[in-house]
Amino acid sequence: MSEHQGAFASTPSPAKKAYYRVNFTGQGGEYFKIWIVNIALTIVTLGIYSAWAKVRTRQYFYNNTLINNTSFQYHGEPLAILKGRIIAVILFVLYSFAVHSLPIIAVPTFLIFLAALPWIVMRALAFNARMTSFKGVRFNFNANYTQTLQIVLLWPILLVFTLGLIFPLVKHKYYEFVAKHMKFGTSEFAYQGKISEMFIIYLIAMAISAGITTVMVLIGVVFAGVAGLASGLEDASGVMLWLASSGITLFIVFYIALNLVIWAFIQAKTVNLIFNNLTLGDNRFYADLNFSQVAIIQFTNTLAIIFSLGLAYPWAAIRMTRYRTTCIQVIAADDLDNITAEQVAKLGAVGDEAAEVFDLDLAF
Amino acid sequence: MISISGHYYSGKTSKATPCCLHLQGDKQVQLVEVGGYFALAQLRIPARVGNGNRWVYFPDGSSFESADTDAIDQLKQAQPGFKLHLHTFESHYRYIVASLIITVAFVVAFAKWGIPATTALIAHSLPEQTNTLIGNQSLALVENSLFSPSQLSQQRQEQVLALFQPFLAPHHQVLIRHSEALGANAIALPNGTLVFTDAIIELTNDQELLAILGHELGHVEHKHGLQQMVRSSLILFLYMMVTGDAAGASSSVTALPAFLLEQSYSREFEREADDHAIQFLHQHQLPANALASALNKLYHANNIAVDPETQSTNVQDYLSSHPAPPERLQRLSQTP
Repeated sequence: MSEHQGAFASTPSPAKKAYYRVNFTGQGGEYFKIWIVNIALTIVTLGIYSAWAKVRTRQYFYNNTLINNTSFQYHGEPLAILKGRIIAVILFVLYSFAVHSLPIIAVPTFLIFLAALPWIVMRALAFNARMTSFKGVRFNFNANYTQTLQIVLLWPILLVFTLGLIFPLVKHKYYEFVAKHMKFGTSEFAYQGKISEMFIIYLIAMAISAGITTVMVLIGVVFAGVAGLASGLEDASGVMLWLASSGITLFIVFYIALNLVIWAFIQAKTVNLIFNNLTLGDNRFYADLNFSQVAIIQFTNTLAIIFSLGLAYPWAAIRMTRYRTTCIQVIAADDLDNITAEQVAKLGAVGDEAAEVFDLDLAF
Repeated sequence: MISISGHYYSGKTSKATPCCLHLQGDKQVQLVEVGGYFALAQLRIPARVGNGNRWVYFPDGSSFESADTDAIDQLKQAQPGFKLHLHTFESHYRYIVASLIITVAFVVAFAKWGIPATTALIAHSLPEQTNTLIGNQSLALVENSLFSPSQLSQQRQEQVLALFQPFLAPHHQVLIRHSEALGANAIALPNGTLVFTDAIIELTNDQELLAILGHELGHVEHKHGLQQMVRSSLILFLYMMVTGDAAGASSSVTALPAFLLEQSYSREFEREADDHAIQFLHQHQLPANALASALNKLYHANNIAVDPETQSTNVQDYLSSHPAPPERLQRLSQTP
């Protein structure tokens, strides 16, 4: 067991404190086989198998995520998921057609969607929490419609009126909301991060963005200068064509690099902020994701996926999950053995499936 | 006798009790350290997925965890009833290779035939009103931003409309507009509205204008506008199906193949419209080279190179919404 203990293992612990680093044992090659069989069976069953595929994928990731050698468990039932998925897909098709038709149909449809959004988010979070357990104890999520409405509609609407300036605040509110209503057995989660810390993450991200953009503009100026010189030549068209195409290529490369670095920075810092301020009863967490590491993994993953025409996806997914999960530690007050379980009610999968079909990003 | 070591969880607290599970005879299991007995048939044992930890669920809500996958498989095997051996598929190379072939074949076939056929089918089976609605809406959307009233003389405008009149069906409507953004261009909306810019009318002669009319009528006839909308949804669907969850891939990765695919279908539409124009010219006994000469003028006006030597067409072909000029002109010159 000692190899799973974290960097703090040598710290003297007056109380019966235990430090567990989250361990991930999934393998790229192993997941590739599960993934490709999932896709093939989904194709030959005309999509029906996708519900089983989802359950097997979840089970694979959950059963390979260990804390102190005990794995997480996923309890989603394929048939319930299939039912939810069929309803969600029908709703999505109806919605897609309606919003692309006359304004007299499109506007009310969109309003109905907005009204349903808190319900979808609330049910999706609850479904995923209740289908997850650890050490035989289920997670749970209980928030009502009004509470969810504030988080998924009111704050984002305010975002529009403040020109996006309160985006970090909206993020902060979301994590606070999820943690506040999330439970593990009878133990409650709480998030005590400061709003200012979330703002700092985005301010630094903006500074990085401004820095890279300056470099881009400078390179653009150099290209324009060379183009200006070249236009004085006899036959400039070849040089101009070369300049234009390489200029555009450079611009695209820089744009992708910029996106990647910013994304990695926000990801890493947000995960760290959340886990370092999250508590579960007397238990705490610690995360030390390194943003350049996340950026390198994401960059090489992207290249691998493009050049393998998508076939490297399982390997990429495993790699990123392994890095992200193993950077998290649990600072347990007492071996995590004294959590009392609580009965959780069954829940339909429609909300969770709708969140997936409508592509709502509920993760961090 | 099967004997598996692992941990027992009561389901009431998170306490892990080291425990051994014995299969006694072929009907009953015993949890040795805990002292519980359960009928084998009542256990719920989720099927194996890879080599992760395994769980056994008992009817009273308690559970047993073990890393001994093979022993748990034996226990599951001893249970009565039908068992689906999905892990067999996922661990034998012949099934993996078969899955790979099925997947690649499906994706290629769906992209090549499935999407065009489905979009054409859906576009042609939607009621005519859909086209009218979408056309009216898209015109209203671009009318003010892209176009301003024509700057041609009233007389020239009437001349052009009179030239087109014999070839138009009742649902077709020709508009002449000035457009800074589009330059010399013509566009077809799904409802049968055709917009010609001032610049294209000034650039071309009557026969060439008719050839362009034939091309735009081809877009309307084949319902390309509507097909384009249906297609975007289908490509998204295909993508979701292949990746399952796109959690690991960033959005720029997911958008790129979809964009390239879109552009390639768009080029197919242009070829179809060109064919329609050739047929149109032939049917009305107009010179067959009118479209080629119109295109030449347009390429020239928009500074697009026509000589195949100077172009790196391969890369650009994938990025462009129209076929490469040399290829397009060559196709036209081959038609009798």
